[in-house]
This record gives sequence, C-alpha cells and structure tokens, in this order.
Amino acid sequence: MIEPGTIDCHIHPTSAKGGPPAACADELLPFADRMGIALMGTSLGPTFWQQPTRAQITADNDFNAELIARHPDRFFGYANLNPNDLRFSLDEIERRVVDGPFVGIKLWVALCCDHPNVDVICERADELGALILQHTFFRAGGNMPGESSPADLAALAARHPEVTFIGAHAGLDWERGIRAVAPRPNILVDTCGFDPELGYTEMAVAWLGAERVAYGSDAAGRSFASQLAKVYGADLDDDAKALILHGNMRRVLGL
Amino acid sequence: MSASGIIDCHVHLHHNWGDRFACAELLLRGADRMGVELMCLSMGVRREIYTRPTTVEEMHQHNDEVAQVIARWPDRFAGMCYLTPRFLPQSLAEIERRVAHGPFRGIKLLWDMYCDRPNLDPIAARAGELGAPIQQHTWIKAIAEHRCESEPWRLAALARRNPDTTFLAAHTGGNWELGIRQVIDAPNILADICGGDPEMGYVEMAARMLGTERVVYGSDAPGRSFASQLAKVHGADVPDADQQQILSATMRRVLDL
Repeated sequence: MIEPGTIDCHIHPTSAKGGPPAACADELLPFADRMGIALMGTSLGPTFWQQPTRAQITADNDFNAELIARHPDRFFGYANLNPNDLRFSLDEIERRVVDGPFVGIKLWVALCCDHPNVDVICERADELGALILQHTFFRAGGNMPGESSPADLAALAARHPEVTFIGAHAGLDWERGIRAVAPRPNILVDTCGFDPELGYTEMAVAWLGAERVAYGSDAAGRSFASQLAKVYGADLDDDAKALILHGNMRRVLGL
Repeated sequence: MSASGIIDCHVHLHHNWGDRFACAELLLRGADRMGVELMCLSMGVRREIYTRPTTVEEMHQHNDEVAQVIARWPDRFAGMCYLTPRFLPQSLAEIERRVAHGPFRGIKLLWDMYCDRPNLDPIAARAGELGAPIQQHTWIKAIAEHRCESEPWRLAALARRNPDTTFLAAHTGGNWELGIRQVIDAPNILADICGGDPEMGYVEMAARMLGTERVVYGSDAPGRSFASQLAKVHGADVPDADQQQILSATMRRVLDL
C-alpha cells in the first residue's frame, strides 16, 4: 500500500521545537521513510511569523538552505518572502532561487495575493520558472488580514498564466476552494493540512483533473500518514493516485 | 488470510450506503484498497438504534443481516453478535444461537444499557466460556450522551468482575486521554482505536500505558475510512513490530485464528 517515491510538496521544519536543521531532519526523516516519502518541499521556519522581518526571512531561508544542504536528495525549498517588503523579496529571490538551491517561492499570510506587489514577484517567478506555493483559506469567520483565498489566487493566476501555483489546502473549505480555482489551469491544489475528510481528493480530481492535484502534508503540523490517507483512501484509480503522489510534482519540478 | 494480513476489529453495515450487501461491497472495496483482509462486522442497516432502545425482534434482524453477509463472504467478515442486554434471557439465547453454534465470533454491545449493570455479568460470563470477545462502545461525551452510553470506567468495572473475558473498548472513550487511563487496571480490556480523527499521540499513549499487546486497529467503517484510521497506526511513533501487532497479531490471538 505504501507508494515509494512519494513527493510531499508542503512541509515546514517545525518538528524539532526550535532545534537546528540537523535535529529537524533527524526527526522528520524516519517518519518520511516509513511512509515512502522520498522528497519534501520545505518552507517557512521553526516559528511562523505572520509579518516576518528581513532578519526572520533570512533566518527561515537559511534554516531551509541548511536542511537542503544536509539532505539534498530529500528536501527542496520554497523561499519565504514578505511581499510587503518588495525590494527585499526581489533580492531574496535572487539570493535563494537564482543562486539556488531553492526552486520556488512560499507566500503565507503577510499580504493578500491580490496586491500588486505580488504581481511583481510573479513576473520574476515567471522569468525563472519558479513555482509559487500560496497559502489559501476560506475561513468561516473571515480571513485574517493579509490572508489569501482561493478566489484571490485564481485572480492572480489569471494575470500570470505561465506561472505554476500550488493552492495550499485548497482553501480548507475545499468544496468552495476547488470551485474557485477550477478555471485556472496553472493552479494545482495540494492535499495538506486538514483532517482526512471523505470526498476531498475525489472532488479535486473530478473538477480539476488528476494532473492538478498534488500530495502535501503540512508536516510537522500534520502527520504524513493522516494526509496520505486522503489519497490512499480515495476512490480513484492507481494512475490518478500516482500522479497525485509523485507524477505531478516530478513534472512541476522538472525531475 | 495471510499471516500478517490486517484485521479490522470494528466495522458496521450502515443505512447510508444501501442494503446490507451493497454496504458490504463498499466495505470490501475499501478494505482491498488498504490491505485489510478480515473485518469484524456488527449491526445491520437499521436506523432506530440512534433514537430508541432495540427490541428483541430488531436485535434478531441486525444479526440476521450480518449473518447473511458472513455467509456470502466468510473469509472476509467475522461476525460480532449484537445484543440488547435489557432483554437478558433473549440475549443469552442469541449467544447460544449465533456464537456457540457459529458463525459469529464475538459480541457487540452499544448503548442499550450501561455496561456496569448486573445484566451484563451473565453475558460476559458466557462469552468468557466461549472465548468470544465483547466489543463495547465506550464514549466520554462532553455533552448530550446517547441513552445509557458507557464510559470506559464502566467497562473496567465489568471487566474486573469477569477477568476471563476479553473486552474491546471501542473508541477508547473517544476522549482517549481519559479513556486509556480508565481501563489501565483491567488487563482483559483492549483499546480499539476506531472512530475519531487521526490525532497525534493516541496509539503511542495507548501502547505506552497499556502495552502494545492491548491495542488493536479498528476503523468504524463506513462511518470512517480505513485509510484515515490506519493512519493512526502508520503514523505512530512505535516500532514496526508493534505496528504489526496492533494491525494483526493481537486480533489473530483474540479470534483464535
């Protein structure tokens, strides 16, 4: 049942409770090994900052760079940015993506992705072929200031059709989120960060196609196993599951 | 079944999924997908269990439905005989009819009577004589319990009075941090991890406080998916050998397979 070679498109280095990257890797890798996860996309840092400063952005990206340097065959990175600080964001893209080893960009809740600053980041991502992992929620009580919804991401993706986006959590309220991103073929949704509810993966495949759904866990905030259950337990054929578990991310990452 | 095949100690038929055979076929599809080889099945597709106590006639109907499913797929389902202990003579007769003479392998108790009441003792005693495990729903409700819904401590009281009977504490009380503690002193109770979200630490705490040999995998399918409940075991920080015990070995022993 365990699918070897699985790619987890969405993790954070939160497992070691503030420990250094080596301790974080030592804690994550045995669980990844058990669940057949070959490669993990890491972003943010041991602490989540809603409005990260330049120093916090640097520390987060340094942390993940060391994680990748220690285990280049097990981790890839998304550069954490605060788009409110556009100059520093563009510089960080040069330092982390152009110069490597990061392959994408992570945008969390510092600024809603409908803001023009994000367009500038997307233009540079487009030039570089860099993937953008955008947190998306439809919160019942209204989103936090700066928090993007799948509808915000769909509007952004329409303006940047050559950039590949991952709509993280599919909006959490995924029955709405999947519908919101459906018209934009350059958005994939990931499976991460909520309970393994019946019908999520099936609906995403029905509406978007299996080639637009990617397995992610949100580890260490969620277990690999509980999030893999959304794929393993889904009423889908093996070909669709293979795309979700690794095929799509292999394509997106050019592996 | 294979020597290491997964045994799910807790599945049901349910009215949301059609008649007994349609629901069983749904269970089999999910089980095949996840490598579950044998399922302990109880209760038919009747709805009234949620609204009022079960009559004797309804108890028979539940077990008839399960018997029909077992007859069709005898290598995939093991029957758990549903009883309504408010009707003790009829329940004891049902044990003779279904368990002593087969094909049911154990007993299922839900919420028709608190399980620490005296009516449960003759049932537990007979189950012990037959080597049939008793699966008792246990839940610690924050609010609005079902009628006569038993907390794990009530099962512990029954288990201490009937030390030769094996009990499965279904859901381990739901609030498992309390439930595990409530059954710790009754070594003949196993923690059935079914139902509820795959929360971090459940299997680890149960294994640590009860011993791995007292923790068994169950799903509560089709109310919960096999995959989400297996994730509790697959994602747990326990050795591979302990996982195998939870997924298969202990229930093989309990069912004398």
